[in-house]
Amino acid sequence: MSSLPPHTMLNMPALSPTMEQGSLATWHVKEGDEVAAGDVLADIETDKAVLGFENQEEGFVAKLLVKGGAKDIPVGTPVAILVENVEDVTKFETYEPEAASPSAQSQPAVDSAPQPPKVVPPTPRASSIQDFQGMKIGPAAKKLILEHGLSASVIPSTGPRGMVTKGDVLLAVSKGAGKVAEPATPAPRKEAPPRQTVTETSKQGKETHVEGVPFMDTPTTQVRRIIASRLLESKTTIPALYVSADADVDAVSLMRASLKRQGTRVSVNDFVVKAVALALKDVPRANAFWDQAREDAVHSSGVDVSIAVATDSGLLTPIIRDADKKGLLEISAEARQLAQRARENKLKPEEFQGGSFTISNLGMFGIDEFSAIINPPQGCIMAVGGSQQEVFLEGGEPRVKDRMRVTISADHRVFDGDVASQFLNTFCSYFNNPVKLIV
Amino acid sequence: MGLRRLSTSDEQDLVVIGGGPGGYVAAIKAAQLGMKVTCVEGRGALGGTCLNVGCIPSKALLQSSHKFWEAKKHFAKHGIITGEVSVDVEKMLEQKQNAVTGLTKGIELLFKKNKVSYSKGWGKILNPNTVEVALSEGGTTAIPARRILIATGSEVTPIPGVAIDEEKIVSSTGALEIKEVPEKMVVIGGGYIGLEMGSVWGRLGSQVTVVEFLDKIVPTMDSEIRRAFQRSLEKQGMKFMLKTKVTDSEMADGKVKLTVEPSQGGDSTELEADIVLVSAGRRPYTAGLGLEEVGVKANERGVIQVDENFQTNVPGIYAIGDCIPGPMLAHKAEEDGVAAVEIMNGQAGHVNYNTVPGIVYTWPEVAMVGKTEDELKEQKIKYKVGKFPFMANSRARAVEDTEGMVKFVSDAATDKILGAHIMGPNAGELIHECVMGMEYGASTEDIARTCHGHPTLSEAVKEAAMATYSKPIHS
Repeated sequence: MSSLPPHTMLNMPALSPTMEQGSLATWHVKEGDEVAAGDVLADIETDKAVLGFENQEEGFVAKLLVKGGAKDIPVGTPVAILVENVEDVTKFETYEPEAASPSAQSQPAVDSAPQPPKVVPPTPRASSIQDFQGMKIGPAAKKLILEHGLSASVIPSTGPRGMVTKGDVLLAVSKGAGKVAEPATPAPRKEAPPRQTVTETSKQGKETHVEGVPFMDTPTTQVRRIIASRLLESKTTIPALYVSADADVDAVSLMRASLKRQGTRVSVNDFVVKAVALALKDVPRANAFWDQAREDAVHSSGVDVSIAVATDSGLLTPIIRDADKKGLLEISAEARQLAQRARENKLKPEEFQGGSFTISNLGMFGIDEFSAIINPPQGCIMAVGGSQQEVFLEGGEPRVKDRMRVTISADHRVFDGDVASQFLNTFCSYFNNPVKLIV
Repeated sequence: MGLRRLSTSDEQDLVVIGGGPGGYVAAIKAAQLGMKVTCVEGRGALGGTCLNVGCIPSKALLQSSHKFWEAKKHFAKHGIITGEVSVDVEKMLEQKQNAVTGLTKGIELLFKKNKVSYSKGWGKILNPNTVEVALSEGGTTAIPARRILIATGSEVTPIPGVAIDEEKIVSSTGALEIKEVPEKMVVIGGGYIGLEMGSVWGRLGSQVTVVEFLDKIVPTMDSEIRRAFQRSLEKQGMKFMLKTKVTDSEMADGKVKLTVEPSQGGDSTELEADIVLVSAGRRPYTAGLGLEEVGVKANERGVIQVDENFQTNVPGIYAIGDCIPGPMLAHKAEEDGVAAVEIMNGQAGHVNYNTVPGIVYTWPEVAMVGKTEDELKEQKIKYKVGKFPFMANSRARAVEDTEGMVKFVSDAATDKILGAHIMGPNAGELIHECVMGMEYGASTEDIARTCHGHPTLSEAVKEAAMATYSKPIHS
């Protein structure tokens, strides 16, 4: 819109890894207000929590595009406009938002990396028995919600005192909200007929469980659904090259022991992260990804290493940014914190969106080696196994060493054999001689 | 938002005229919210009709007569051998009076505890800020008031031709003081008051005939329940003359002779009785309040008109209870009182008239809340219905008290409970689960999926709920 003065469009932020939409519960600013960086503009409500929408820039609120209380706004939808000069505020009085476009100009949290793949109409996580704690809801409504895999928080409630009634759930079911029938949902059961004849008593149809086989249905979570679709996309669209190498663990073990004596705990994986980071810096062609739009390999701007963390709701990959520039101990502390917060589902968007390389370590689970699936939109992932004692001959004499097998799955459009080998050799050179990691 | 002001110590934030359940509850609530309150009552005792000549004494006599009936008719079956069981009416009345006195004194204590001033006399509104009291001890006093709340309740509606003397021709007041069991009693009016009083004396030995103008007793009751109820009362010996009106009465030889004829007109016949109870309705009592002079509007039946804040057309004058529209029930008056006072203090007071239960304290008791099946049919609302008889309830069978049933009506699409009706033992207690459910927009399935103790009569409520949305287990 050329007639409008320069302005910043604020969009509905993704406040958690799985957030697809949120409600703008309350605005804390009004049009014309001056705002500073750090001000909380609004309370955003997801099915998990109420979070503050923090302002990033100084300016004035020119327009609020959605009303306080507006529900189910997709992430990326414009919700407000900021301007630098207070005189420009009035120029937005009659502004009408265009059809929602997810492109964010001013969201610092979103990288230049493409958005995660769109999932078919997002539904908030299906409620489980625990979710009903403290909710005003009766047993009939609870039963229907569980049977249909619905989320209690998004069913409009018409009951007194905000209660979700049986009728509310029946209505939601009849409107097709119950169509969460993806392969991951619980075993299908016959829906209870919503109406009954006046004088007859009704029959509740319910399929019985498979004869003799006891099982417990755990409704799938939103995180898992997204992970599932990403994995499928990765596996089917990225031509992967798998290359393994063995690294020597002995030197790292010695250094860890020495650090431990000084009261500092560093894990093997922390060493891996640093070694990977330096290897990526030395072999820039390995720090790249395939950009489908440009049909070319594109270099990542920084060395941002993602670490795979297993959580109850699925695999998350928080990022250690500029890992090449951070010291080993700094990386160790940051990795620990990120893993903790990933498990508590408290990661901020900028902490998991982006990254140029992922490390997945199953060594602590006793795995020798494995191949991981590339984490789009990255170009490579390293699967780290556990250390094994090995006997080899050196100068005709049997020697024992600890070795660790790492396997990279690399996008073959970005990594040819040459780059892959170069990267792995560089990695091993750093990992086998950890002194190099410290200087 | 307190209403205290730095004014003369005399001025009251609120003067409540009438110390019945509506008035005394409002007064106590107002005091608890920080208002300076005076309650004016001229009866000589607090508690109004309810405590003195209504709910409380009638329940005492109902209980006494019920015990007598049980002893006479049912003890033997339980293996309890008595001799001839007899009644000492004077003693019965004494027990009743003790209960009443205890409760009315209790309210005086509550007034003291909550610092509610009690002005003994008859109140009259001089203007929206002054209540004049004709003191029981003599003389008058004027109480300055910022707000006035009328809670004067109701009185018996007289029937032309049947003058009440409270000796032979009595209202409910006199019916509670009858000195000896009348041989024959005629009850004019088949509402719950007449049926309850008729039950009392019928159980004690009277031959009771109920004369009712309409073609049904207790018109607000669900028709299916009503039929069962009438049959039950008939089994207890009560006779019914429906579609009949009383046109005249006269005294002869210490008995009352009534002239009755069909409601639509026709040949008249005579009924003879030792005691006649006039219980054909109640009307608001506002005599002597000075309403006309002050300009407070009431309709042609004397019902004071109020808005949703319980305020009359005169600012500063409020009204609650039997003298405003709505069911003439003590608990409704109490709800009104609390809500009115809360609203005066800026709180969100509210009475949900859809969930006010109605209870008839005969035996079996009858209780109801919400809509009847007849109302739903009339309003063309699609509904489901479910019933469960106490005959199939373990507890009722164990104690051999199996007459009656529980009935639910719920919305056909959402299963939301629209009405609950219970006839049977303790119906008046059992109904409250249904009231609570309706307050929360519950479905019958919700009640069915709530655990009910075993063996209790409440299980019949659960089973009736199951019968409504699905199937009962035990029938």
